[in-house]
Amino acid sequence: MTILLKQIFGLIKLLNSETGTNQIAWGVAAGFVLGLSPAFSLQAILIFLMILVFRIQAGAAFVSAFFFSFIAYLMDPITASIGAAVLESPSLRATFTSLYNMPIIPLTRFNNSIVMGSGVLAVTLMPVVYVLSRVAVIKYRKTFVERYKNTALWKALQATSVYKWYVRYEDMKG
Amino acid sequence: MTEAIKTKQKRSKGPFRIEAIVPITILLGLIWAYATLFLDGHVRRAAEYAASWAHGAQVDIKTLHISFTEPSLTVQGLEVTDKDTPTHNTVSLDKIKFALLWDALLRAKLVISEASVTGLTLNSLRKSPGVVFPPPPPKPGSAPSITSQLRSELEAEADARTKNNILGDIANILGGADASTQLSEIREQLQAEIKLKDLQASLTSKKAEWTKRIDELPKPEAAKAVLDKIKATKVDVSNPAAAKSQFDGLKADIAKVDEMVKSYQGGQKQLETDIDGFNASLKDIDEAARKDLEALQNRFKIPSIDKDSITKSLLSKLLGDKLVKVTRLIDQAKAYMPDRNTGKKNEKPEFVPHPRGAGRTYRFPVTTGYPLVWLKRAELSSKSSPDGFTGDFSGQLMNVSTDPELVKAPTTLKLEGDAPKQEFRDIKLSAILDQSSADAKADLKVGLMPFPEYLFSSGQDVEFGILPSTATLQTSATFDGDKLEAVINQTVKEPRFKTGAKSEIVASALKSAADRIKTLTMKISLSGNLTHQKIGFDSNLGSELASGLQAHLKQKIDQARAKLKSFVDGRIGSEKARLTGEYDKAKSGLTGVLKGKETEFKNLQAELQKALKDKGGLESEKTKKDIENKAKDLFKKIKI
Repeated sequence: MTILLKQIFGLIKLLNSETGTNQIAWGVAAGFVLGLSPAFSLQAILIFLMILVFRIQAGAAFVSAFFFSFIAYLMDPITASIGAAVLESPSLRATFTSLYNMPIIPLTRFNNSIVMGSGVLAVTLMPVVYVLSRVAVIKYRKTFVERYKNTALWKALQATSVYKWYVRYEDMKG
Repeated sequence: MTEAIKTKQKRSKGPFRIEAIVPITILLGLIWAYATLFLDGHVRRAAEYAASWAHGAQVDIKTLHISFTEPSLTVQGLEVTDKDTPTHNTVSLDKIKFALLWDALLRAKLVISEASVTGLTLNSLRKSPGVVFPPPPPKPGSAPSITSQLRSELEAEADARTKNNILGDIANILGGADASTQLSEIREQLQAEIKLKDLQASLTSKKAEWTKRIDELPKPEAAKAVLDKIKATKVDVSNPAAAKSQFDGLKADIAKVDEMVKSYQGGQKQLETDIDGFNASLKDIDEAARKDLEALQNRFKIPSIDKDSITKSLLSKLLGDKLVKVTRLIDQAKAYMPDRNTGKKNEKPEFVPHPRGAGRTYRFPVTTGYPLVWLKRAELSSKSSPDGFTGDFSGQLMNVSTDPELVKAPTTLKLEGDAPKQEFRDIKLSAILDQSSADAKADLKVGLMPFPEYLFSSGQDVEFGILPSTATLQTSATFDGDKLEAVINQTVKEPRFKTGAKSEIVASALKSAADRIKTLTMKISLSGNLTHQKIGFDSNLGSELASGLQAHLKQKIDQARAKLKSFVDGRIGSEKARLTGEYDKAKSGLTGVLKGKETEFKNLQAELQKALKDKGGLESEKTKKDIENKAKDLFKKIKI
């Protein structure tokens, strides 16, 4: 829980800074895929490992995963029909039979209509989500953060010794 | 300037999250260290615990090693405590090695490509007695197993049969026990006596009934009245019309007499049947007397010298013990045999969507899959040692799996060898279990084995048993669908018997009968299904003893039977003769009356015909026909 909260605070901090736009955008995209994947599946573990290994903003990933899992729940009928259409496609039957008989691959539960539908949707929409979230972050910084930094309240806060101590602490921490 | 450098430093962290990779690497290192240092020990203890609870008694494993590079499991020093004798092991193994397939493990399946089991020892002595757990209570409503049913039935009878069986009865007869005194003390009524009294009372009432029924039958006097009437009638021949009317009246009277005779004959027949039926009831006395005789024979324990009763009496415990072992195997097989009624047999792997709460899970044809657990091949070997039931064995166990239909090969077990310490030679075990068709076949042959000393009878008057000998064993069992057939054949060549009795005559008779037996054969057969079997015992012991004892026993048994017969006859003989005489007398009297009346009726019928003829009744018929013919001619002439 502490790690999760730390990541979320990190997201807020990063969102309000001038750096890490791509990290946040990739985090949202990864969270989108994570939210659409079944909880204990191979692809979920893979995405989780990628979040750990690469410098993807974990807070953004977890928040968006939480958000998109609700969206995924509501979209189950649609994803189920997409998955069923893909799985029942005669042209793909041989491919799926091969995958079904391969090691490891069946652990992804690709033969479930919702998993397949969610997977297809996630892979297709992940670049779109990445681009949209990047644009959204930039727009947020340009409009909301800039306007907030020009307010008297923020300037007064910056003038306090507590804030200066905090900035010095952050610099030391690196 | 300083701010710019700091910002640059912050931005140059790179795409990898080192602060996460390092802990993960450390964690993996710790897991590797655990797997190397502690996993084997923990798995060994967990396996011991699980196997002990599953078996119901202590299971020990000396060492266990798991290898991940070439996935394999090696178990050394496996000892399974015998639940009935905790000081011994049911089975102990020096080493078991299972080599697994990575390909199957990556599919979450356990496929043992190669296994070896060495140092198999049965019934070996443990260093310290193993712990035996109390058996779980039976599930409510569950039927008891065949083994427990059979065991309880056999145990209930076994002791009684061994201590007080047919040889004890034979000894009593040969020893000259006299039943006369005991017979004289029998006060209760025999069944035949009760039947006799019933029939005596019945005959009295029947006689009255039969007499009444004879009185109710038509009487010849009525027919005689008709005859008198015909004789007294004067026919007016001058007036044909009046004569015809008179004759019609007379004929009607004769028809009435005919009816009367018929009615009499019907009643007579019924009555005679009823009287003869009572004679059949008299034969029931003989049947009751026969049953009384049988009951007395059982009461005075007069044996039958037939081979079946001797075999059943002497061998039921010995063969029953063997049968319990067979049925224990059947109980175990039941757990492994598929249920044919589930209809899974014909289920083909095909593309089938399964409706689920969350989406549908599609199944594609399995082309290169594995069952959840599959032991492909296990080499079994054992070397004889001074401890327990060991021997020089070698064999193979193949294709034990949780999904035989996927494996498409039956489970087979072959084991051959000798156990020189236990004097077991030429042992051949072969078993095939085809789960896909639910057929199974098992054969066990032992060329030579010891037959331990066994007492067939150990009563106060007589002792009879077999001394340690050598035997051969042939066992076969087949299970075809629902049909189970099992046969155990054991042959003891040149058996030596232990005989003894209080009476010298008995001892001598038994010894000479036993000396005749050159080969002792015993056979148990089971046929039926997994839940209900028909059990058969057969042995030449019964027939050999029967023929050996025949000469000594026949006269004694015949004498004893004759005494009993004379006792029964003495109790019912005179009364039965009196009843039979009374019945015969009543029958002859009643039949005589009936026959007399029948003759009287027949005579009257003849007289009536004659009287009618005398009155010209027959000519009158001729006259009538003449008139009719004349009338017809007349009609032809006038062409009407």
